Amino acid sequence: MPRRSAFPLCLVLLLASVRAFAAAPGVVTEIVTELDGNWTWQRGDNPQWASPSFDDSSWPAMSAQAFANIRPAAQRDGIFWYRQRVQAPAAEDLALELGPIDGACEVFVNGSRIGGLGAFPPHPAWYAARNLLFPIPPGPRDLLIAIRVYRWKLAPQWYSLGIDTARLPVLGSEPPLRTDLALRHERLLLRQFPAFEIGLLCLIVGCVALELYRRERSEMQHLWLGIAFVFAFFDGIGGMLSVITTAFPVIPFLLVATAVNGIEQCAAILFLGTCLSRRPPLLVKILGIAFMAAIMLNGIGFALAQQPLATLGALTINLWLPASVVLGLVAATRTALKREPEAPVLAVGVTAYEVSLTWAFRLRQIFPQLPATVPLGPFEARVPDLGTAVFAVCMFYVLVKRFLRLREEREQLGQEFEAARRVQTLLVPAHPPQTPGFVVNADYTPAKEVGGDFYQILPAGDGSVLVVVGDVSGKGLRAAMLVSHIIGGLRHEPSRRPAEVLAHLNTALMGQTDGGFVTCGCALLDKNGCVTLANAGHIYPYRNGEELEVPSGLPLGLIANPTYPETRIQIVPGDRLTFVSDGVIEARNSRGELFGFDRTRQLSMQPASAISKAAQNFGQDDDITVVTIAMQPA
Amino acid sequence: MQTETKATVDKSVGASGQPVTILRFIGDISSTSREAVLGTYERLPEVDRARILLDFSKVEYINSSGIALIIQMLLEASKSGQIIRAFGLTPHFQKVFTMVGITRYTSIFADEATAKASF
Repeated sequence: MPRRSAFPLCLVLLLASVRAFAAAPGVVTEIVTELDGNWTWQRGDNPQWASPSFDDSSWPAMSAQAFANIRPAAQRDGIFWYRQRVQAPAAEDLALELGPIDGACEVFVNGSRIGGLGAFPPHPAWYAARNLLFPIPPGPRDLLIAIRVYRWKLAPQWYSLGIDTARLPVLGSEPPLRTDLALRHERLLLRQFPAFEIGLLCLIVGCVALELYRRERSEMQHLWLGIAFVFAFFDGIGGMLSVITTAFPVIPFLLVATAVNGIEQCAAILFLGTCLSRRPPLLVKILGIAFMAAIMLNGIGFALAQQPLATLGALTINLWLPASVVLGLVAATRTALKREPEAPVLAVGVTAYEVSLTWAFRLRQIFPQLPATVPLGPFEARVPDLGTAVFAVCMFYVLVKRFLRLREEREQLGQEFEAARRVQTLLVPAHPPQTPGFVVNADYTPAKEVGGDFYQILPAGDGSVLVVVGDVSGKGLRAAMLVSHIIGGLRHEPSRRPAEVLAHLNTALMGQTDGGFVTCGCALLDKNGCVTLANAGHIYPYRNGEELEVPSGLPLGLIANPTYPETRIQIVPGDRLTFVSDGVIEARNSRGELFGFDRTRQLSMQPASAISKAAQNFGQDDDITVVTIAMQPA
Repeated sequence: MQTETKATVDKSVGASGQPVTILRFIGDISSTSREAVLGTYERLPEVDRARILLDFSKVEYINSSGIALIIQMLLEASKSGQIIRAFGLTPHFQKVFTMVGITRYTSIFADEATAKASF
């Protein structure tokens, strides 16, 4: 987990800062001997070369400065040996400090191995270059120091954090050398303290963005921003960890680091794409993936020591970088013109980030006198890190403000939906009216706050009951508004003949359905049990558990002047009719299976609430309406 | 839960030797399928609209909004004198199509071969 690894490190850095600035590193008062004499070197490998008796007079010489920065001596990969004879200073607890070496190394004194770091072929492994201290066992003061180094083919191009690259190897007393080395190490880390803090800021903003995405999955901008910031944190922290510990050999570290950086850059570009449109345009997606591929290609090229691959990656990075900067500036401009209140701040953040990238990777190539870092008290920050910091702060502001604004809007919308729901409960009553001679039972369960289903039970003075059950295609507020329109029409409907009722409703709905339609079943039940049915595309009703296949006309609102054939049936006391909406039939479970006609028919003699509950439990996907009407004995 | 609708267009020949355009739908058909259903139909060249076959064999779910889109297409085709037929519907949706009156504007066949033979 990012936080668990980050905060202990933060504590270490804070504690180290107290020590590092209280002391002045690099000044060891005890006796030391700088190994500034000539070294001899040879490519190849022979255990005898560690021996003091070996004659290396034929080996090429190399200056101490060249050894301090070992790169010029070995442009090729392979195993190299370096030797020097020296008179040790008169010090107890003698130790040898070496400058950073890019590769695995072993150190021998008078033929005995005194230490090393990394592993040699056939399974080589080495770590980010660092200064190394090797205690020398007590013995004669005439020392033959031999260093065996495995060099990686592309090492000269792989610049790690490079601690004290100009420092000469020294011999001296171990305790002060160790203290001095520790202080220099801490100073190096502290120079990166701003980068680390900016990384933490990125982690926080990234986690906030991902949490907002978790709450609202349609906000892809939050997703890409979250990924970009979280990976920016790992990108930054990786370099520091590679110096602090020897848990990350260079090659695996390089592969992981480039993958992390590639994902970070790709996500950042997709985020910029969401500033242009809700979903990133295809060209932006291609740019993001191409940029990620170029970065990874570069890293894999180095890891496999394949120069052409690494060069190709580097070239394509140089090609995509300006494109991403242009995209960023266009996105910032487009964002600034949006009406969203947070848009100007987002635009400032994006602009700062892109300008800092341009500064670091383009302007400084043209104007080398431009500073690469900015002093911040005892620390210094790289310009791109500062750009990232401004971007992160701006985005934190944008995310928090947007969250609060949307929450307020959602609350307001919720209140409006609640008001609409109350209106609908007045239009679609929870309890049917009194219907002498008939027992009516109904259940109405919208899929959202308000629904697009409706039913009306309209008794008349002659003992008849007009039952109307319908469904507006679609659901939610738009469908609910149409329901209000339909019920208003029904309540002023002069006719009680089902076919006429449907025809009048159809006329009222023409041009009102916005491409949709309304299915509607209508039944007039006379007190003597004669039932007249008409259907406008609605689910067939059920009589005593059997489906009534009544002839159907087209749903309402589609064509002018349709005909709705009427069907007459006779029911007797105890008979029951059941009307359902398609929310019952088409309830779907998690496997995508439909509730279907058979289950509905089997349940059609159950109370309305039981049928509705069964469909809801199966998997409600739409508004559900069930109306049952049973004829009572006279 | 709903999956995005995709539509592809194939050309074939009916039993009479006349060309038939097959619109194949994949996924669920709902209110979000306007582009896949109506858009695909409207983009067909006039000459390819004379005989259209709708393939629902890879459609698992059609809700009322999706049915509305299909009806719009059928009404438009009916006005223009085009012939549209369909196949591949599950028994459930064959029944739904019958209930909503779609069968007044199209014939539904069990499989592609039978449907093509009807042209």
